[in-house]
Amino acid sequence: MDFILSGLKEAFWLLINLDPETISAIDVTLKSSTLSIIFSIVIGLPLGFCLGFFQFPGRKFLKLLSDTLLAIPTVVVGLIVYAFISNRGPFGSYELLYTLSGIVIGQTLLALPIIVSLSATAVEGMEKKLYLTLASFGLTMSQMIRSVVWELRHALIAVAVAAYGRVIAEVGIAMMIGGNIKWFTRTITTAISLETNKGEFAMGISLGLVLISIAFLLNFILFFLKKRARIIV
Amino acid sequence: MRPLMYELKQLRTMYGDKPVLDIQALQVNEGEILGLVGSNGSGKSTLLRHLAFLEAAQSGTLCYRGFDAHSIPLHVKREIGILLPEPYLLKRTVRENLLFGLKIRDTLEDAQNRMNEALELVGLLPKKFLHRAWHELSSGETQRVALASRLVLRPQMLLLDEPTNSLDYSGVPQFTDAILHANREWGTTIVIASHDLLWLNEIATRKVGLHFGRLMDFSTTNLIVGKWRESGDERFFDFDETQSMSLPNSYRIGEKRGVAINPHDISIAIEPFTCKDDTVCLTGVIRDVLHVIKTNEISLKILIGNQVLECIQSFEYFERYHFYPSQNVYVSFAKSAIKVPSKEA
Repeated sequence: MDFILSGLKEAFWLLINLDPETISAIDVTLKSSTLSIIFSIVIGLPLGFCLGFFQFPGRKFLKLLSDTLLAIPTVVVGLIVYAFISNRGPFGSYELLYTLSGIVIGQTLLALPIIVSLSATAVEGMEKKLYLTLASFGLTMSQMIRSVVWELRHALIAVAVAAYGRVIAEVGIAMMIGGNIKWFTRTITTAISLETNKGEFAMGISLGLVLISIAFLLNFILFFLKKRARIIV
Repeated sequence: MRPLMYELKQLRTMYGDKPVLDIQALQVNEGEILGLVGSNGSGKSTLLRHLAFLEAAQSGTLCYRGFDAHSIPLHVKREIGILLPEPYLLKRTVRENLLFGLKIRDTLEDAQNRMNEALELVGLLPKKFLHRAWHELSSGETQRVALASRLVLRPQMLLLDEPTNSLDYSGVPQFTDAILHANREWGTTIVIASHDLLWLNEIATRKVGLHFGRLMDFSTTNLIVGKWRESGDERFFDFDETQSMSLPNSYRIGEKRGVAINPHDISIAIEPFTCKDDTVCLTGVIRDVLHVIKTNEISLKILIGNQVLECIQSFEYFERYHFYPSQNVYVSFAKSAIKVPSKEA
C-alpha cells in the first residue's frame, strides 16, 4: 500500500514541477491525437454525411462495414499500418515507422470508422420535420448540406469528441508504430505501460492522472453536447 | 377571371397499396384563401406537401403557375411557403430563424423592419423575442415564430397545415389577422388545412372537402361513418335503437367512407315534421349553438343517438325560435341530401 501512496505523492511532485519526461509524453499524445482527429474529421465527416444523407446502391453495406470497423482492435490497425510502412512495405521508403507521423496515420485510421459511422447515424436519424422545414425554404443542395451540418452541430461535435476519447486512450498503435521512443514517440499510454513494467509507479500514476483528467473533460463536453443535441422544439 | 396559381389533374399518390391522394381536378386561384377540410388521415397534409413540392405524386400533374415539379425554377419555388403542423424551428435564435429564409433568398435589405413587422403580425414583441433561443419558447410561441419566419418572406403562396394547433384562445384571432394581412396587403394566395371548421368558415373564401384522399363536392362536416344493415331493398343506418335512416341498396356506401350531409340541407324545428317517404325525420338534443359572424348564420350541433349532426340556419330563423342547448328538437332532411363520397369537386 505504501508504494501506491508514495507513488501518488511523487506523481503530484512530477506534475507540479513539470517533469520534462512527463511533459514530453503529454506533448506527444496531444499532438498525435489532435492531428489524427483533425484528419479523420476532414476525411470522415463528408463520407459520413453522404452515407447518412443520400440514397445510393450499396449504402447499407457501407454502413454495416463502418459499423463493424467501430470495434476494430487497435493492435490490428497497428499491424496493418506497420505492414504498409515498414521497410518491406509499399510505403517503406517514406520512413514513417517509429515516427509521430506514423502514429498519426494509425490513429487517423482508428478514428475514421468512428467519425464515419456515428456521423452517418446522426444524419440518418435527423428528424423528418427538420428536413422538411429546410426543404420548404427552397434551398440549393449546397445550402441544404451546410444547413443540415449546422443544425446537427451538437451531435457532430459529440461524435468528434467520442472519437478523440478513443484515440487518446489507445496504446496498441502508439506502441507498434511509434515504438515508444523516449522524447520522440513516447505517449501517455505507452509510457504508463513501460514505467509500470519497470516498477516506476510515480510517473505511471502522474500520467494516468493526466489521462483521467482529459477523459473527464471529454466526457463533460460530451454530456453537455448530448444535452444540447436533444433539445428539440 | 383571376390567374391560376395551382392546377391539379388526376393526381394520385399511394403509400404502399393504400391510395392517400386521388384528385381528379383542383384549381387554386390567385388571391383566394382556400380551406381544406377533412378528418384525420383524409390526405390534407399530404396534399399540402405536394403543393409545396416536398413530395411528388406517383401520377398525374401538379402545376404551379404553369410549372410542374420538374420544370419549376428555384426562384419560383421560393414563392411558396409552408407551415407544417407541429412547426419546427431551427436550433438558433428567433432572429436567426427569421433571417434564414431572407439570407437564402439574398434579400437582406430592410431585414430588420421586415422581422419586426412579421413578429408583430403574429403577436410577439420584437424587443422581447428577437434574441431568444429556440428552446426558450413555449409551443404557442414556437408556432408564432414559425409563421413569422414564413411571413417575413412575404410569400406569393402560403400553405398552412393546422396552423392553430398549439395556439390558445387569444392566439387564434391574431393568426387570423396575420393571414388576412398577408392576403390583402401582399396579395398572398393561401391554402389552409384545418379541422377547425368554425375558424375556416370565418377566414376562407372557398372550402373543399377531402375524404380518403378524394375531393368532395360537399362539406365533410356531417360525415357519418359506420355500419349499414341490409334489409330488403334498403340499407339502414341506426342512430340508436329507435331511430334510423335508410337508402336504397343501389347506393354504394363504403363502411369507412360513409356518407355526408350538408349542414345547410338539414331542417330543425321544435314541432314534429310531417315526414314523407323521401325524407328522414329524427329527434335529438341541441348540444351547442354558435354564431358564424362572417355569414351571420347560426350553427347548431344536435346529438342524435351517438351521432352529432351540424345544422346551419339563418340568424332570422334562430331569432324566431330561440334554440338553446339541451333543448329537444326535431330534425329533418331529404334523402337526396345524403351524399355518398364518390363525386369530385
